[in-house]
Amino acid sequence: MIKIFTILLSLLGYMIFFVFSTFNSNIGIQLIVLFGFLMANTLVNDIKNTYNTILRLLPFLAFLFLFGVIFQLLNLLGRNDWMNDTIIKLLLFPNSLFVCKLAAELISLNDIYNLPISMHNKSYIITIKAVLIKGKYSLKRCMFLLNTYKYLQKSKLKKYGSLILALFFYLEQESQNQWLVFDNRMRHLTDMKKKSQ
Amino acid sequence: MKIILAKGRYYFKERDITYNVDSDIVLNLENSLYTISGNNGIGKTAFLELLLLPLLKRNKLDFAYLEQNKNNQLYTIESSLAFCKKLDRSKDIYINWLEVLDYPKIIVADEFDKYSSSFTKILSTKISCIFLVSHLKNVQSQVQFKNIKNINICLKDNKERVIKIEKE
Repeated sequence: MIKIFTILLSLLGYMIFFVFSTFNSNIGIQLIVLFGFLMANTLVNDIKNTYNTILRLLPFLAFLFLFGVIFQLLNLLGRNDWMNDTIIKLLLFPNSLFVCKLAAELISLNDIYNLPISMHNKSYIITIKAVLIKGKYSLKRCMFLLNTYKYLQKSKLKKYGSLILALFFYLEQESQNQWLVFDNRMRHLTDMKKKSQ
Repeated sequence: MKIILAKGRYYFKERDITYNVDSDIVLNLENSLYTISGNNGIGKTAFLELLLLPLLKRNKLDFAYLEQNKNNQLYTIESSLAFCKKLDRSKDIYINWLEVLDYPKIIVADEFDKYSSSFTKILSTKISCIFLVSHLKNVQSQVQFKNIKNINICLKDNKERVIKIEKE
């Protein structure tokens, strides 16, 4: 309970101080925050995980940078601060992602189980967490499979569009499956508890 | 049509697995069934995904890969067909998929024969070669191929996997 409360409070604190306050445009502070998150992620996971996360972020960051440069060169909307704005977003984006990633990873199923809320509500949170854990693997598998389909190889848009759609199907179906498994186990345990009393 | 799995030592860092091919393995892709055997956890799926599929791709051969987990595959088949506006609900999903793939003559199936009704439908298309990992005993009776061979994977010195081809 205290752990989850602390994590959520830290998350809120991060949002208030580093996203919605004047600190959000301070490149130096954002750089320090990024360094802190990289260290924290390495401690919670490992250096390989940090490296892979950065690697996955790079295409998005590269696009963001590219658009920043284009907007700056075009002097879009009469503004000449596009590069400064882009650099801030280049730091804010990974920072926000790392903070959410770390918060989600630090909350375990046991922490959720110990929350003082009804079992019915807990079951929703546990199901979502279980689906997301499985989803990590599923994402890789779906990508691997889509890479073997000949008709998708000429268009990245079709491939990634299909991936997103496949993940929607996965979330819809697997959340139902996980819920059924969870519900079945709970009913079994409740029956056992009744019998033993 | 024949392809060759060249003699050599193949190491795959992502799964920390090494395969050793002692001599060139010639794979005949006409009228052939190749079963892939080996103990549980030896790396049969990894053999298909890391060695065989890239080999087929390198040779620019069309194939359909059917993985162990039917659900994941169905999500991707359905989503990709829908995204390409080629999803036809009046047809069986696998037949619809194979049609969009231009009915590939090579099927690589990882324990997919356990879904017998889907597997039978796939076998009804014009297939000339199947690579199959299976734990069922009646595989050969389901297909009518002349050339039936087994690719065996076994452990050598508790480290490397040795790939050998044997006649059934």
